[in-house]
Amino acid sequence: MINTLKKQGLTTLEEAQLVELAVSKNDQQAFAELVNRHQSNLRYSLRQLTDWNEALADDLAQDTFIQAFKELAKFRQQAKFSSWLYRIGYNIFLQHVRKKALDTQSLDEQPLLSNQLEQAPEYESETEVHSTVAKLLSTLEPERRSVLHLCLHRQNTQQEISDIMGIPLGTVKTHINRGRVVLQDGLQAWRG
Amino acid sequence: MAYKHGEVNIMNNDTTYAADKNPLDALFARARLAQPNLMDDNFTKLLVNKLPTLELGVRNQTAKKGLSFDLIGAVIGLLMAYLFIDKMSLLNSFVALIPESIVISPLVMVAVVGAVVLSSAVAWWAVEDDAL
Repeated sequence: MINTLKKQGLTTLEEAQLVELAVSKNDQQAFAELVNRHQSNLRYSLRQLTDWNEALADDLAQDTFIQAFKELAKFRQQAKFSSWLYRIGYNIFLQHVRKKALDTQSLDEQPLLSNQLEQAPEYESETEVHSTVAKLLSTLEPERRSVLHLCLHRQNTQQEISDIMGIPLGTVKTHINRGRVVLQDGLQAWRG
Repeated sequence: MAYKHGEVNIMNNDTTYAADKNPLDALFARARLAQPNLMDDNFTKLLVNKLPTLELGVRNQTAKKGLSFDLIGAVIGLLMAYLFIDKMSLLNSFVALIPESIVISPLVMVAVVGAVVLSSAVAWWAVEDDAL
């Protein structure tokens, strides 16, 4: 009963207050509320980065939240919690790519995307749209993939992407320009 | 539609994307609009179950810090002993403690075997406890 009341109370709290509770009082329910608020967006983003591999994306999301819990005391309140979380998620994703050598064939090297697929994707249903976008993104190398996801899907500004990913603004611009060209070519190749 | 260098996104309003816009932006806008709210299921529950282990890790880190303080204290103590204790008299006292002859009686054998069994049991328990 007390726990239920507490949970109901937590849902009304601001993120900053939840972080404060989780850090100062080691309140796991406060942290669980933060997880509850952000799990969907983070898991979706990681699915887009992992070619819509749902199990892998969920594992990476778990690792991301665990890392966030460990580093919660370092979180600066002036930053957006979602951006800070995405930064951790992106680093976890990169670590996984380095460790497992995830398949990241680049269209820069193989310009014909249609050669990589048996048939052009059809995205009549909304579910197919997500896997199609993920398939398209998977043709980019991991850093560029993440930049394009933040730019085209999350609609972050270039400066925000630079801050989230910890890379120079010029690199972000280069990734966006080159990545767009590659994705557009890939999409055209699909459509014939 | 041509894109200038560094342009972020032309789609300011999701509802306005249309077939005549850039197909890439249209595709991403469609995905953005259709982004599902992924059900939590057991995600949060599984995650929270892993958190107490982390607390244990933090406690271990604190224990490691305590151990390093112990080591510093031990080193200082050894240094003090080295500087202030007469080593020759200490050595002579130690040599005097060694008996001139040793008689291995059944009682001594039982005590040795008991000590070995006891230390093995303690070592086994420590290893198994770590594994848990």
